[in-house]
Amino acid sequence: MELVQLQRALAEFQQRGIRIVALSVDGPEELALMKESAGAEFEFVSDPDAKLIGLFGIRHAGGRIDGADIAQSASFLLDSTGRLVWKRVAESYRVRPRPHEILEAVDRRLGKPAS
Amino acid sequence: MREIAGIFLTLFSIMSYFVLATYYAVYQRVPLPHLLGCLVACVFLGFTVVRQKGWRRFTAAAALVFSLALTGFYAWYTLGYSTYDGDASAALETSFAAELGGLTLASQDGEPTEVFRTGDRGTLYVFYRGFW
Repeated sequence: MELVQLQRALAEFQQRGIRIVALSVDGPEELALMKESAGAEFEFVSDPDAKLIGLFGIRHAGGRIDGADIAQSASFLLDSTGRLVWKRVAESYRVRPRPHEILEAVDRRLGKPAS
Repeated sequence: MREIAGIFLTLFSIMSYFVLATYYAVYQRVPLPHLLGCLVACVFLGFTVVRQKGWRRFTAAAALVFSLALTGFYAWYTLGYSTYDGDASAALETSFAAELGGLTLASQDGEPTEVFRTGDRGTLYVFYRGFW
């Protein structure tokens, strides 16, 4: 699970000043369950109306088992001004970016943090 | 014994795929080694059905049907069901400052959370399908 991997690399993201936000259409209760299941310490945010999902163009129409719209599995990196500097939209939700790939993208697009 | 070995190999081939993805970030678009493992298990069970007699043939046949069903489901899930049609996502360099600035959504605690904070050096949004 990508969220488990991100949790393992959380210190490296924090060292770079990157905030991780996990999003889905789930309500707070399901978010809490997912957060616990992944052992994650970063934030989980509920997007029940698929506002952000629509904004980022990753709506998977009828993707949930009950026919509701959900998010296509994807990761987006925004810089401090809100500009999209890196993205990875999965061609299959089983295939996710590895943390080191994202960290490389962070260093490439935002530069390495001052030590 | 052979039936159990065949079923075990099928289950091991499938479960090892999920363990590798979850704990070791080994993501495989086409999980060939795991599909091959399932195939070997089915062939092994097929030979067992041919060689056994009586009730042993019946149990071997049941194990074969079970393994074939699992293999079929796994192949459908990995090669078909879990794939998306295209990518219509936002283009790089798009600015989301206007849309995200001041936007709050509920966190896992039900508390309003700022989706975007200007103080962060960068924000990584990870969209996932949901809790099952």
